[in-house]
Amino acid sequence: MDSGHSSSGTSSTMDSKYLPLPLVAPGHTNDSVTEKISHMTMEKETPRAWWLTFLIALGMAGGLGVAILGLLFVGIGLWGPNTPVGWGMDIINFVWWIGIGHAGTLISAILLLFKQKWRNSINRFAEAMTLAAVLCALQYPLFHTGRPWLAFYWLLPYPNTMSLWPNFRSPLIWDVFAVSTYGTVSLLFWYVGLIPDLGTLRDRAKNPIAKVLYGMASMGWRNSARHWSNYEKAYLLLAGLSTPLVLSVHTVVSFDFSVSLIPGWHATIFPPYFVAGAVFAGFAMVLNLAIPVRWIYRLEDVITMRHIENMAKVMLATGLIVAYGYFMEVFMAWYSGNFFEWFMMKNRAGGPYGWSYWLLILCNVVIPNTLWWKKARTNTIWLFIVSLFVGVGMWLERFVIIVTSLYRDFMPSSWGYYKATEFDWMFFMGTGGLFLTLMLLFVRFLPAIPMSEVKMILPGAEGRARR
Amino acid sequence: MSAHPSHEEPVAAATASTAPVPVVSLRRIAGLVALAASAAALTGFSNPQQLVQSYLPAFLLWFGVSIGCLSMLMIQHQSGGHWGILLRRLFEAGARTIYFMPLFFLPILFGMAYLYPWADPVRIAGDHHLAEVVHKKGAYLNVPFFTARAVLYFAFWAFMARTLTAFSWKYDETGDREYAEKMRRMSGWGLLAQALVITFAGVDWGMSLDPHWYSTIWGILFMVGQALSAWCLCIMVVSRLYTHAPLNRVATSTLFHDLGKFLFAFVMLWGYVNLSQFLIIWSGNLPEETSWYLDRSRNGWRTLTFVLVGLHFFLPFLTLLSAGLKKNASRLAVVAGLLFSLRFVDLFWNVAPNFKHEHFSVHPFDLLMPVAVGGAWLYLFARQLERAPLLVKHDPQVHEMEELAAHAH
Repeated sequence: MDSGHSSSGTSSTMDSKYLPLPLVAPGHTNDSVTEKISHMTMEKETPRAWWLTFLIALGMAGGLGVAILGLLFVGIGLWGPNTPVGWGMDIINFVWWIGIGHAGTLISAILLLFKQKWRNSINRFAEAMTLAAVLCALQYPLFHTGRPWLAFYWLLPYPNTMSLWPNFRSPLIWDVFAVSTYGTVSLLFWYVGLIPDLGTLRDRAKNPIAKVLYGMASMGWRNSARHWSNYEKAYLLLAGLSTPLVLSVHTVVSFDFSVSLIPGWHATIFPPYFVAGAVFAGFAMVLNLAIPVRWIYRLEDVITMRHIENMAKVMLATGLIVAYGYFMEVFMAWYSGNFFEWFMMKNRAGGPYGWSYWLLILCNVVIPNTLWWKKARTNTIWLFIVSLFVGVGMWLERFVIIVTSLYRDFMPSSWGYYKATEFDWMFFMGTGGLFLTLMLLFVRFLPAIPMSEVKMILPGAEGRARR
Repeated sequence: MSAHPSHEEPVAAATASTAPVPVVSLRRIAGLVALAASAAALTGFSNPQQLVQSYLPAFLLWFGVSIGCLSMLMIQHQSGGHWGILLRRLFEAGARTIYFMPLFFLPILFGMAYLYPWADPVRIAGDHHLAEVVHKKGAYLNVPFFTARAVLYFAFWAFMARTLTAFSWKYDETGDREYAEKMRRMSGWGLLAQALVITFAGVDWGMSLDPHWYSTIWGILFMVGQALSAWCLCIMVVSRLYTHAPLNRVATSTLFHDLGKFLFAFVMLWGYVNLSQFLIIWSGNLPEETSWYLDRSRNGWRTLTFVLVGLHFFLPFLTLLSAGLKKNASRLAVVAGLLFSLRFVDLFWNVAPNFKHEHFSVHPFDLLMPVAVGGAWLYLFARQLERAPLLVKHDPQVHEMEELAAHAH
């Protein structure tokens, strides 16, 4: 029964072409990983490129401040939504941001449970991205109320003297629970994962203030076996808790539309199709951030081609699920024999907003399908471009779903046209600035690559790899 | 490679004599059951309508196992993982039973008028609502196109099952990694095509039972159900085989733990997809959609609905939370067996209310048919299992698994 070991010299050299690429470039030791990643934080001079992008991001975030002030003084009449399109850029952008966060949760939780070791150098980054994206998303439900200081009373159910409750049958109240749970668990997950690395930074810090701050944040981490044992348990439990959240959050977001009666919204495929779209957009954003950071900080040895290619594969797979969703919508609209369903579909693709539908197909279906080829998956410049297209495509998807389902409803007399205002765009750009600012601060002050977890996948550390 | 003409199936390395005992007894028992149950079904020829209507859910269950095996085979080629090595030969054998499924499809083809209102001219003539729908959907729902589509589906499935197995056997024979790459590449586009084919087959054979009704998630419902059926069956079979050579070289409790986790995930997914469909349709409350759920929530069908929610979701969900149970092959097989029988209940619940929405009833044939089809299916499955060794020979993961198993013992 030893025939399996019969490989001759020629076949073993042939086999080397099938060996997976390493997850960490050869030559790294525990010390070199610590050196390399700690240097990205406060230990070295701030790169000029960082300052430049930070100033741009801060400027854009300032635009958010202006947009918010305008909104508070004038009211939400500054925004574009109006009869018959009562939902516009506010919810489009909310759904877009929430969706982007999903890659972080998927990488940290599901890939951990599936024992995918390639998650280990990109997870911290993706988790931080989740938090920043959720924060950007939250601006919309908060400020669309017009009086955000009262939002708490309107959004959360609590016993009150007037016996007023939100409508528990409305998915909008489910959203409040889904998103706040999601935000909380993501924060915990990210922070717990950071603790060992914060301990390392505390020990290395020269600046006394930094030492105290990192020391407080590391919660007395001493790297003892007991600490590691508790840490691993907590991490695994949080992964278990986060896993259903990957599905639940965007499922509830999809219910915002699908439980209604509007053709184009009322489709049973919405939950899985929204979840796949969220992961799709999220991975595109991770690539859009990881590729430049990898280049600026010369991280090719810890974010290797294998990471990049695997992310491209996840993007292709989720993109195909999304494409399946588009196809099912068209097929069922036709198969249903329902006049309004079929009218909506024809109007979506051939009406005044038809351009948005075809642009969406180009961005989300045509271009990502180039990723079937290994050459496309391993060319970082092309991959960066594809990811940009996916980001735009997923934004267009929400635009198409929301606007083209609403602007021509059952009664031709009430048809209208939606146009976003300058304030809509300023608000959106502003959230983009907020997102970038937060990510840049994160990269500067905290280890963007988890040192402790990269060490676990160094050669010779197999036994300690996270199970 | 060029010495073999491509239309000739490569010969597998094993002969029937090397198959483990449980496979041989499965073949014998299943064959006898199939014969006995088919003989009993012969009494039903005086009532062909009942016969065909009882046959459809049984067909959908067992044909679904074949298709689920094919899907899982492609998924494991793409994803990798030790579970894929443990179950690969089971998936391949299950997928190859698809060669015989066109025969199993014949009763449906010949009994179409009893099953699908749109294929019954008498009913169309007497019901103007139906006539209107058939007029609207006639381009899709007509007998020649329906038949042509079925031919296309079976051709695709047979091609995939045959080619993937041929590569796998060639890999055993030659040890050339190129075959592993071929299987992986083929599974990539194969899964995409598989999703579309399952969706259309699901619409044709399941959804069009009620020509008024439609639901965009239906295809995914079918995919998840089939994967779950195949997974349950493979757990039951492997729980009997893992103590015998050759699987005893690689089987560990960790592997069964993984199989249990996947089972848990599939149960959750089944619940998720069904809840999504229900919640959206219930909330919309449109007459053309909600009638489907109304049929299943009254006249006795309601009880069956709750049985499904309780036994197809909550019971396996709660029992599979236990790590100890998942690591224990025989206990895991009990849960898988229960779920497998519930797979039939689910398909019966999907199909039968279309025929008898006035009141809930179970005809003896409803219970006989899954046994008859199942006996025949399992007989074919066992015969396919005997055609190749149960463990692949050259995959690098086999050696990892053997080492892990040696440490575990």
